[in-house]
Parts: sequence; C-alpha cells; structure tokens
Amino acid sequence: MNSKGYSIIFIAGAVLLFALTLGANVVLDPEAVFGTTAFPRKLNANERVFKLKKYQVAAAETDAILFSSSRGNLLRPRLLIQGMQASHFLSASMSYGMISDHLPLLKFILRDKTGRPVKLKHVFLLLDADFFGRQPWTDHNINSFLPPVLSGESVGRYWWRYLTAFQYRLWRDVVRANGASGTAIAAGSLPLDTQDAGDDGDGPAFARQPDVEVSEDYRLAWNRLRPDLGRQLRQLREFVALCRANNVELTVVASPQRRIALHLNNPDEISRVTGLISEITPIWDFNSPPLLADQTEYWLDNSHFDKNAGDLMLARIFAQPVPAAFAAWGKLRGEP
Amino acid sequence: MLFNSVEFLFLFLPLALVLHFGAARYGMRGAVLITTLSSLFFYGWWKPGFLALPALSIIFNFWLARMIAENDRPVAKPALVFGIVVNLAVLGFFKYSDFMLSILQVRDPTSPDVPLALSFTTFVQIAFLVEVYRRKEVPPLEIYALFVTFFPHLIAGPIVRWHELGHQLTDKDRYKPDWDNIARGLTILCLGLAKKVLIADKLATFVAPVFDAAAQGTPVTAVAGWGASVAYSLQLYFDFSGYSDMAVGLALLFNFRLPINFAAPFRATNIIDLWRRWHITLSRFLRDFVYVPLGGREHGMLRQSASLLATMTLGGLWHGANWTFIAWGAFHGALLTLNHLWRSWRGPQPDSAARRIAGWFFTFTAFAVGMTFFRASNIQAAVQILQAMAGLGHATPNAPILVDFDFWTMEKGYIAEQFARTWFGSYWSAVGTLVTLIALAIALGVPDTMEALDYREGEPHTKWRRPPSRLFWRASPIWAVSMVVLFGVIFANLGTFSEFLYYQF
Repeated sequence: MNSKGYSIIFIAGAVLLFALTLGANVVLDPEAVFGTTAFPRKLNANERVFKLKKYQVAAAETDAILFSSSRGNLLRPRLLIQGMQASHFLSASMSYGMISDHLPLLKFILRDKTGRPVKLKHVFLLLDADFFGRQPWTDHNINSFLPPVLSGESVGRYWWRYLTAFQYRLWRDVVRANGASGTAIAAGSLPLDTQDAGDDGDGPAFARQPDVEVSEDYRLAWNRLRPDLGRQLRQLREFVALCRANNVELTVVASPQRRIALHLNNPDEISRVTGLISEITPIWDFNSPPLLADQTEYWLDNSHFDKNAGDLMLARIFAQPVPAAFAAWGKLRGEP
Repeated sequence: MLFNSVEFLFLFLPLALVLHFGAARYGMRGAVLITTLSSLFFYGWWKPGFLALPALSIIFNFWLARMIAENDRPVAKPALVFGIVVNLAVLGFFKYSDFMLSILQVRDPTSPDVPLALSFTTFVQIAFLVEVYRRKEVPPLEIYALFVTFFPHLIAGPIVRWHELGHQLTDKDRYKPDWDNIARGLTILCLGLAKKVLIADKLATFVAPVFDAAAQGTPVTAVAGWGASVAYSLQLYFDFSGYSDMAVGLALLFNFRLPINFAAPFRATNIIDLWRRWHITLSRFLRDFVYVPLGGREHGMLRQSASLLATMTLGGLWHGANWTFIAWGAFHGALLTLNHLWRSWRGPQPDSAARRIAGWFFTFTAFAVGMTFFRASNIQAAVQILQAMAGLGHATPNAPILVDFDFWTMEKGYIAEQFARTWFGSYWSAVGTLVTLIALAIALGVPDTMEALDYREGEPHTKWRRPPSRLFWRASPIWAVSMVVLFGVIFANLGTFSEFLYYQF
C-alpha cells in the first residue's frame, strides 16, 4: 500500500465518522433541539430549550412564572395561580435550575413582554441554598446548553455543538426507547410536558438514594466548594432589580432541606447563604426552623420534598391556614 | 482553538491545508501569507484582543533583526541586548508583575491573564535575534511572520530555532502536497491525540481530587499521595508529548518538519538523561542561552553546580509565576547537580540490568516527587502531599467511596472495603491505581510516536531508540484501519476535551 492510499483511507474514515455523527444527532435528536420527530421519545431533552419554547407558545397570556430547580415541580400550579393571583401561569422549573439559568430567561421574557398587552405580574423564585454558589449546570452538559437567544452565544457555535457531539449510548437508547413495544422506557424519556408540575399525582419519579454517612473532613471540604457564589449573588441582584424595574411582584423562597442535606451542608452554612440572599431580597426561609428536616413522610428523596410539603409552603407564603404544627414554619428574612 | 476540538479537526485544519496548497499553486508567497493569516485566526479564536501583541512583537523583532544584520558589532550588540531585554520585559509584565508585587506585599500571587503562547514566542524570537546576530541574515518579513506564528508550534512549542525551520519555509519544493508526509503526519497527529484524549485526560480525573483536597488542607493517604504524584507525572507527559506529537504531525501535513520534543523520557535511568529527553527544545534553549553563558561545565564542578541550579530554577520560573514552579526547578537543579557529582565521584560504571533498574527507579521516583510542586496550587499543598507520601497522612474516618468502579470491585470481593477506606481514602481509588499502572506500562513499553514513525528531526543527544519492531509504522492496510478505529475512539471522547496543560505556561 502506498502513502496516498493510506492517507485516503484515513481521511475517508474520519469524514464518514463525522458525517454519521451529524446524521445521527439530527435524526435521533436525543436533546430534542432539532425538532425531528422520527424518534419521538427523547432521552436527554434540554429542558432549558423546552421551557423557552413553552413560553414562546404562551407568551401573549403568561403573567406569572415559577423559576426553580426540579424541586419546583412539587409545587402545585393551582395553588401557585391562586397565591399569585395569576391568570396564566408558566413553570420554568428545570433540573438543576439555578439563578444562572433563570436570569437569562427572565431577561428574555421581559424584553419580549415590552410589546405585548399582558405584562408579567408575578415571579415565584424557588432557590436551593444547598446548591446556591456551586458550579452550575448552565451551559455545562449537553442537555443544559442555553439557547443562543438567552446566552448570546453565536448560533453557529450552538448548533455545531449539538451536531458534532458523539453520544453513542444516547443514540442507542433513543433507538431502543422508540423501538419495539414493551421496551423499558427510562423515566427521563417521558415527554417533557408530563415532567412539569401537575396538581395531582406525585410528579416526576425521583430515584430514591441511599443515605450516605459523610465524614467531618468530607463535609468541611464540600462546604468550601461554592466557587460561583459571588457571581450568582450578582445575578440574583440583577434578577431582583429587573423585577422591580418592571413592576413585577417577586416572591423568593429557600427550599427546605432534609436532615442529611442539612448535615452535609452544615445548617449554619445554609443559614449564611440564605442570609446573603436576604440582604438582596426578602426570602421565605423554610429551614428556620428546619421543621421538615426529620419528617421522612414529607420527602421523596434526600433532595426533593413532596407535594404535601409544597402545599404547606405555599399556604405559609400566601397566608392560607396550615395545621398548628406548621404555624411557625418558615420565616421571611430580610423583610424591608 | 484546541488541536483536540472538533472545529479544529474538521473545519480549521482542512480549510487551512486547502488554502495553503491552493495558494501555493500561484506562488510560495501567497501560501506563506495565507498560512500566516490562518495561524493568526487560530490564535485569535482564543481571545481576539490579544492578537495585537504577537503582531506588534513580530514587527518589532523583525525591525530589530534588520538593524542587527545591517550593522557592525558596536551597534548590533546593543541592539541585540535591547531586543532581549524588551522581549523579556513584555513577558515579565504579563506573567510576573503580579508575582513580584505579591512578594513585596506579602500576599499570595494571583493567576495572571497571560496572552496565550507568550512564553513560547518570546523564546523563539530571542533565539532568532541571537542567530541573526551571529549569521547576519534576515529573511523577508512574511517568512519571519510565518516562522513565529505557524500554528502547529505557536501555542506551546516545540520551541523552534530559525536554523531548523527557516530553510524549510524558503524551500519552494515544500509547497506541494507530499503523500508520504501526509500519511506520516496524519498518523502522528492521531497518536498524539490518543495520548492526550485517551490517556492524559483520563488520568486527570484521578489526579485532581487528591491535589484539590490537599489544597484545602484535607489529609490524604500515602497511597493517594504517591498515586496522584505518579499519575500527574504521567498525565503531564502524555498531555504535553501528545501535544508535541500533534504539532509535529500537523506541520508534516504542510511539509515542514518540527523538532522532536520528547524522547520516551520515562525510560531514562538517570536524571541527566531524562532532561535530554523531556521537553527537549526548552532544555536546549536553556542550555544554549542560560547554562552555557553562565559558564556551563568549563569552570569546575562548583561553577557547574551553581549554573545548573540557576538554569533549572529559571526554567521552573518560566513555567509560571509561583513559588511552586521555582521549588520544582530548584529541586531538579539539585538533582542534576547530585547526578553530576555522583558521576565525577564514581567515574564510568559497568552497565548491568540491576543498575539500570535501580537507576530507573530512583530517577522516576525523584521526578514524581518533584511533580508535587509542579501540580500543587501552592507550597503548603505540595508539602501536604509530600507529608502524605512520607506516611504522615491518613484517611478520613468513614471515608466515602466515590468511584463506581471501586464499588464494583468491593461487590465482587476483589477488594475489601476496609482496605479501600484505609489505604485509598476518599480521594484515590483502585481504578485510579489501575489506570496509572497501565499508563506507566504504555510509557515504558510501547514505542514512542517518534520511534514508531522513525521521525528524527532534532534528534536528542542520547541513545533512546529501540530496535525496529512489528509495532513500528508503515503504510499498510492494517495500520490504516487501526488508525481509523483509533481516531473513532478519540472522536467519541472529544466531547470532554480539555485544554493542554502547557497552554497555561
């Protein structure tokens, strides 16, 4: 074999691999960004893109929005609508949603609303003090890239990343999930609409995690890992200022923590982070006192409270009756 | 833009090659200009704002080079000194000013925003001025601009010298595609990518937790300390030698031959030989422009030792403005001095397998110990790792097992849980140990890229090549298919690409 033949085999192989990758990403579309429907069940859908599209469909009527991580899926829309006195509510809850996801979306919505008769009236922002300041998922994993209209990234680069990602396992699983009947479907393959908050049922399935004993050293090390705290506080400040400037009523809430999460994160640290937030905007702190921390019946897993807990939170925030045991649960910190 | 990115491999590189050889059909000058522009685009992709710096630097050094070439010693020598001082001052301003201030203000230095490639282009241009001073020849500006900016070596070397690359850039016959060089270039590029993507990046995932823990003052076990230091030595080797291979392979696609930068350094059986095989072009630069002017070995052992210490300490400082790099350089200066003293004391020794094994063990161990300074974020973190390596560390009580593979080994009964918790702690793992050992076996046993491809440009002054074997390259169907498969595996792992370690230097 001569060098020319060798080179041509190499180049042809590389080009073929590249072309197959582009084709697989467009046709199988695991992140549901291309909108191709040949394989309708998506396994790694980009919720950030989905929530933007959802807003764009309902842009004319939407007047209240929930910004949150997946924990927001446990707040019943009916109660949020009542509490916020909204006519058309949109949930912008997303897995590992953090202020770095919420701020760009809020900016876009407020820009979009300038020419529309129905304005945004109320924003409900559920923050997780255990994750606040940690490295965000935003634009990190392939299913969390922000759309260019939110991130300001070039359109070419955005699509290039989706076109050229080699994701063999996802391609295989998408094919399987859309294949013969009876094939097991992973929880994440459910259509995105069903993952949104509903009034009934338990909401999305969360894998129950084993309790993990953590050492003091590990706990201390974990607690030092808030590399993004300063930036996220600045983003929150901008978020609050935007709401004020646009006459949007803002309700900010710190989600309750289970005992194991409180221990891992250190109750004082959780309180410190919540305190930093309260210096920017009043915040409902549901870890003061940590009434729910040891009541296992209110938890779906170590991270997600259940809908009953969500009901109690909303009742406290919107001054609805609650059982006597919860009458003192949650404290509005940083009240002006 | 990174060599290990999809946009580089599938957009920039093919386009740059097509433009280069397309323009060359109409004349060499067009190809030189096009590839210079391609190289500046490659550089500007990272941060367009810093493009002015290499452009101005090239113009300034070219102007100075002409002055040096056109004038006699009374003018040429001050001009040369001025050029060296200005180049070093620019480097110092961007790279070391905060470090100097931190010493005066008694605080920790911060990470400076150093323009990419500055450390390398500074050395390339200083060496060029010295060559012009000696030879009194200056190339046309466009050739000089391509010499400095040629993207395969621009960011992290090899540090090329004018006498190596200059005559190639002016050779018209090199501006036509050569299938033999393309075949070799693609293979070297692919093997370099494999070193980086499949080995170095994998090792990085095991190294980081240990050094991060040490940086936060968290104790680690002796196994974790040694494991991370050895793994980092290998990570740095595969990362940087992979990058250097890619640079050589890319240049070959353009029909230019860059010098070898690594010659299987971990096979060295003494530290002197290791430094003849590790980052060869930097070692040569330091030898020619620091060690020899300081006296080299011409003035006795004491002067040689002082020169070695000074040269290696400066070499350490070149890597970054941090006490850790200074400590690393001084440590290697001391090792080299000890090695020379040992040689002069013991004289020539008969070769034997036992000597070679012992020599290799001490050399590699010393190198791994030095790497703790190189990788640690500060001296305290390095000391923490060194203490752990000395057996003064310990596992955290009830250390959580964080690696799935380790869970699997415990479930299967291959490793006792208590053993893992006691010896590895939370930050090291059985799989980390296994991957590190495999990487070490590859570094020692598998022919190096330059060896397998019989590439000898800038051959180091040491006998490092093994006799040809079946693993050596030739343009055969088996090699072609193997490279396509290997490239496929690399491509599948490109999604997690990371920067090259030497970009930060």
